[in-house]
Amino acid sequence: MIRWQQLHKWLGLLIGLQLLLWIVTGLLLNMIPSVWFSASMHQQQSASAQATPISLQITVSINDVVRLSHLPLSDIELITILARPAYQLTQVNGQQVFVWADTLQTTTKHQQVLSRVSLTDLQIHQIARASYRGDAKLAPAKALKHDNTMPVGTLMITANDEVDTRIYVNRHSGSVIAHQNNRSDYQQWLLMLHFMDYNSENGVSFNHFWTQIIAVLSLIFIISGIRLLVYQLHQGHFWPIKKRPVTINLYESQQLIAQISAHSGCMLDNINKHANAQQAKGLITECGGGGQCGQCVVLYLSTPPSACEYDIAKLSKRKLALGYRLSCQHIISNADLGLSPQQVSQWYENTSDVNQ
Amino acid sequence: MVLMDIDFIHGDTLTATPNIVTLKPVSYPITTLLQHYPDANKIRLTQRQGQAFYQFSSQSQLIILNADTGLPLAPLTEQQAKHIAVSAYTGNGTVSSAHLFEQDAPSELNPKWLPVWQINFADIKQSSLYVSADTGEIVTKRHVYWRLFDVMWMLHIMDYDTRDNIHNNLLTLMASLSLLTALFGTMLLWFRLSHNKKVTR
Ligand code: FES
Repeated sequence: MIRWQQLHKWLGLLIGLQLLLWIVTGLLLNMIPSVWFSASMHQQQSASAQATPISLQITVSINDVVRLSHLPLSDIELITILARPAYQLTQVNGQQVFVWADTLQTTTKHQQVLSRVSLTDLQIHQIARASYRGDAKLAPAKALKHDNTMPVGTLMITANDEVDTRIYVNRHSGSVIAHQNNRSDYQQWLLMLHFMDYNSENGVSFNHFWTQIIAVLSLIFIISGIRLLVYQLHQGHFWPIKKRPVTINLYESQQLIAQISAHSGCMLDNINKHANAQQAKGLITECGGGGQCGQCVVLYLSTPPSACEYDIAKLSKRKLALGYRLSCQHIISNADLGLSPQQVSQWYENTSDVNQ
Repeated sequence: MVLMDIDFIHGDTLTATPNIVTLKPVSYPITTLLQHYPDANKIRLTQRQGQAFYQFSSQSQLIILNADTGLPLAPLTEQQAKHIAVSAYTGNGTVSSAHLFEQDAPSELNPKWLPVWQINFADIKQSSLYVSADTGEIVTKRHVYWRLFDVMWMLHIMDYDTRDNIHNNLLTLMASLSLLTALFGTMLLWFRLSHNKKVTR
């Protein structure tokens, strides 16, 4: 049991902080409504129906596209970009290419080629504006730094609103890649802490090495905790009420110094409860009842309880035979307990310096 | 659960990337389609089993047209669906059963994929591939580990009804209690580790 306790202590020290982080971030993610986090609070949902028929403008046929595409295609979709028809091509390598459906380009050698979509900053601004529902001013489109997760050619437009909305629009597809704001950043940050995903490239990674380590340690932590709990329950701790109150007499060298009536719990707790009620300090301990410091030792003057693992670890054979036991490890019983002169001298130390 | 690769859980290893057949020229032009269905939306040209087809929504219905004849394409037969599933499947089980879901999706499937063929394999992972009866695409895959993950996720977020609402009161309550427990635990650890002789209990 002492081993379990040691294990539990060191594991607690090792993973305690992460456990707290898991609980706190989990609680926040649970309690903050998703609407609050939503980055789309100012996002205009794109109108699904096309207002103007685009069929008349289509001059590039599907077969032109199939013929002129550099790479074989697996999928072609008709879309509109700023009311112009365009094709979204999926190449067999999975990459997407966007070309206009109303124009073909001609090279200097009089060859026809597909006209790749490449929007101007002004057009990008227009798309961002259309996707934005708020009425704050939008700053000019800015190119992104290279080391980000957005597709190549994505520009950022910031809005001067209360959540600092950022709109990402891609130059080559005309699509609104994402709306973000400082609330969605906060959510990302909570998720990062919750998933321990501190250098995420894109999205949230689930199988993080450290997550696995700490998850396994947590499991051991929980098992050791349950083991300790079962032991203590078995010993009789935590059972709220004993049927009949017991009387504990405290002696210092044959002299009765206190009489305690108790209902439940361990000897140490009851002795100190009694002392505290009299503004005294009681028995000093270092481990707070953990069976580790050995300072709560008392002498059972008659019929000591059988020594437990903690008694044996802390007390010499001779003392055990004489009836010394750790008072934090034994449940109350009718007993006469002897205190050492040192314990008694510290007994009445002023309680005001307890926490100094 | 974190010990199990998420891609494995998602069933990404159940199927190999199908060798994509590339699109060839079609005889039914998109402009003709738009004349017949002026409100056609999200028009997409792709193919299943070598036959190119258009897929679009018109009057909020999904329509599938043969891209060579312009006629509606019949939904997949059981044979076709099985064929698609078997050719993508990487495991070594055989098809044990096939079900067509048209109206109600099984709970593990998003209803947006309907109508769909569920092709079950007799393997130790109890794999199922879902093949769209319209497009012939493998829309999603399930196996016993995914189903286990789903149950674990339910336990994790303590939403025992819909399994996807992380904003439920039971979770709030339990998480708050855990927070208290953890804080008390931290306090106890603090007492244990600080060798301050004045600390009593
Ligand atoms: S209180 Fe420390 S051993 Fe009993």
